Amino acid sequence: MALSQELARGTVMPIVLSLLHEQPMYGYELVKTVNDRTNGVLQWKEGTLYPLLHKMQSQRLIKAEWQTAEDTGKDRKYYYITPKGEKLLTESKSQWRELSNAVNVLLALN
Amino acid sequence: MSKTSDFIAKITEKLCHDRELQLDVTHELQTHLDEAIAEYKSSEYSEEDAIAAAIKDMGDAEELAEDLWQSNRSRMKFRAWCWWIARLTLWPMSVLVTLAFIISGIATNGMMQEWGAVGPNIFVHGPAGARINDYMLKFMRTGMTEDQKLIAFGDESVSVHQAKRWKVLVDRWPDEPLYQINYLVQLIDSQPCEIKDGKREEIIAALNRGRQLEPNNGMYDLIAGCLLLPQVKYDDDPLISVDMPGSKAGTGKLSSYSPQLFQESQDDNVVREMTHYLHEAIRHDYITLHHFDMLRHRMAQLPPPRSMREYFWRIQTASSILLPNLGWSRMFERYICTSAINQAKGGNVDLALQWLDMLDVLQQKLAASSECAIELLVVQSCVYMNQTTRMFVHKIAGNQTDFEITRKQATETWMFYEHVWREPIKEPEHDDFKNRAGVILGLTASSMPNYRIDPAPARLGEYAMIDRAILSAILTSLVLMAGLMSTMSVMRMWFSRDRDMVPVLIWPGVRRLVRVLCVAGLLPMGAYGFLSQTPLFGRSVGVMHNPVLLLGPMMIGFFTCMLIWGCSLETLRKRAMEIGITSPSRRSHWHRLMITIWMIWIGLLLLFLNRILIAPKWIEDFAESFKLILILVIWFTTQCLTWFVLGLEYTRMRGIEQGVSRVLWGMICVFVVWIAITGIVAVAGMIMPASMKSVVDVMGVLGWIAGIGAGFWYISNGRGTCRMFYLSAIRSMATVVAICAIFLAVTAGLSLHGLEAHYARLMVKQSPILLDLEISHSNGQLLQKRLAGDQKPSARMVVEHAG
Repeated sequence: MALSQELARGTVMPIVLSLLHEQPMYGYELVKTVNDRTNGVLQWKEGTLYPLLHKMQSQRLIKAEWQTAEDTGKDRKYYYITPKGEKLLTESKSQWRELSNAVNVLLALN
Repeated sequence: MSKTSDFIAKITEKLCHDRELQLDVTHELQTHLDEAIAEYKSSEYSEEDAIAAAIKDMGDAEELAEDLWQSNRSRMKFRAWCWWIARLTLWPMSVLVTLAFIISGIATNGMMQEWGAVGPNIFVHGPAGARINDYMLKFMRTGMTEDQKLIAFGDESVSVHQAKRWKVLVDRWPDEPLYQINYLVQLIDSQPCEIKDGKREEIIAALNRGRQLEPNNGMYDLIAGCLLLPQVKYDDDPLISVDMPGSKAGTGKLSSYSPQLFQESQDDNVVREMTHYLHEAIRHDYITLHHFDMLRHRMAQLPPPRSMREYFWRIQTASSILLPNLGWSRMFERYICTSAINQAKGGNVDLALQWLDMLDVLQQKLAASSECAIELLVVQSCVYMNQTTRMFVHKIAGNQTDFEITRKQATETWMFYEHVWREPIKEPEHDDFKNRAGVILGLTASSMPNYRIDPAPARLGEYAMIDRAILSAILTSLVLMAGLMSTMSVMRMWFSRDRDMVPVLIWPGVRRLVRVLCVAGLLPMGAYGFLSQTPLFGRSVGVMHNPVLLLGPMMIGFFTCMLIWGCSLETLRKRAMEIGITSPSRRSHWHRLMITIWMIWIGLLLLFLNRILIAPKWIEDFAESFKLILILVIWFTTQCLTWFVLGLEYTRMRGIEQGVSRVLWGMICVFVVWIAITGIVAVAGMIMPASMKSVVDVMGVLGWIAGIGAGFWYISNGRGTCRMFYLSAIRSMATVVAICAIFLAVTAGLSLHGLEAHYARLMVKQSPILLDLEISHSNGQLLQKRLAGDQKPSARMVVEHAG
């Protein structure tokens, strides 16, 4: 089922932060991980991820570094979460919890 | 281009103002697409389908481009503004700056050409360009005290009467003998018989006061005697003539000489009084007008010259002092000589000879105190007149033997004069000195065959100027380079996305702006800097006579700048990214420390060398060898540090293992090759003929390049080939060469202007007297020795209170 874009848009940043909290990832890996873990529910337009990553870098939520993959020998730009990003992630999780509880109540899902 | 490249190019098109960001995004998107395509192909998609699918998954290129622009909007806008302003303003500004430099350069360097055109006969004409305007004169006087202005310029409210102008010094310092005699000299502005009564009284009062202040100077009595000179007309005695050398100088032909007679009979009392004053004058220790003491004293009040124009102005000012009353002593002697002829004809041969003996002493004392050639020339003519008069006295008295002896003496004297003034000095190095002596001395030497140039000050002036221009060029280049790198580093840190880790993005906007500045602003300045050192701008000696001296240090400076710029951190990063080399790992504390040390060293170097090496006084106090060793040590240390730092950065970027040791070995490799080549070149230089010297020097430079190449080859080969890296780096070589050359040219040109003041000061220190009139620099000193006999020159009169 294709998810409403409007509904999905506000979740991208927290998702990216959450994934990077687990481990540093590069752009393609982020897209693949999201797709795999949500079983295709969240299918991001791959290109639109990058402007967001740039924006998050300018906000100092994440930082980037080029590295050479040991298995393939190819260059990849890995993203790391920053302490500021960690803090925002915690706040986002808390807000999402509150929001989802509230919406669940309203939609009689609980 | 491939489909993926086209697609990515569309996405990154709007990021063109930030080349590094554009490159970074390109690289990232390319790796993303490559992985996506690989995954599709592993799912049995064909090549084309995999590419199409991967591109489709990325989304719309235009939307992406817009999103990327929005994400980096502020940076893009700022850079766009910078570019727009630069394009609008820099080229017109550079044209204006160029014109200003060229015009001022022509105006300034025209002084040298005008001097050459007028030649050393400057005391008659003076270079037109040396007329400094009121503004410059006012500026020159700014640092002078009121007393200094008074002494240097006199009473400037008086423009016509020179005596009144200088009376102010006598009124201000009534007990100073130098000012008194200077005032006396100014009072004497006409023939003795033309002096009006009122002025005559003034002169006598000044004479009497001068005698009180300076009792050892016989000049006051001589002038007192000259004041008695009546209007005299002379005739040649038609009854007596002797063939002597003289009027047809340089031809070797003889002229017919006759003794002088008064057209009208003279008052015996006048003659007696004049000979009395002659007797009084020669009784004193010395006889001098202290012309040049006053000149030196006046010039000493002026501030050091800041340009050749101010120096020429001094020359012109000094020339105005000369010497309108030199003729007085000759008139006096002519009168006495003619009176002696009269006495001889009247039978008083002994009295005549006695007067001529007194004139001998007078001439000796005048010769001993002569400081310039023209004074000596006047004395020389008087001596010859005296000798011929003595010859005629003996002829009149019928003393044939004495007549022959004195005739021979007079002839020998004349031939000696010819030898002194016309015979060029035959020294093996003299012509070479003339060619290397610099513009002013060289031109003077050309006009006066036996003018002996003292090469030391000329060499000091010109070569020190060149040395310091080169040093300033190198040092200022380092300043500019270091400043650029610092600016870029600061800007990079400010705009980088991550301050903790090594930022991936480099801010090229500043670098581009700087490049525009270099090309648009400094290029015309550089052109001026180069041109000002060529014959086009009047520099026909000095620099152009020593191309190796100029070329060698410039090559050294060029390579230094090349190392800094061409291998700079920013360029390395960019090149590495362009060809897909791994971006650098985190910079270690060790690297940061080395870079910090290097920047501090450069800063200290600039402060130290600029202050010490450029300050002329310091450099003159030390031996040449010490200076050379110091420069070599400083340059060597700078090279080592620079190479080490950049080598470390390079190994870090390339991920080369054991970076530090590899760099060290690489540097050792460089120096071993360099020293070997230098040794071979040095030996070759000794063995091979002089005509091959330039070839030997070129070999040395090539050897140095080979050493650097060998070192980098060793450093680079720690991990794979570096061919691609070098190939991409060569692309920026043209910019590197141009920028380094511009820096060197601009700083050399600007340094040259700064050093012109030093050169002018050296010239002033050399002599306050006009160069072409110096006795000590020509055969005139031989003449002075002969004329002065055992008479000692007067001591220089120095005024202590002023200044």
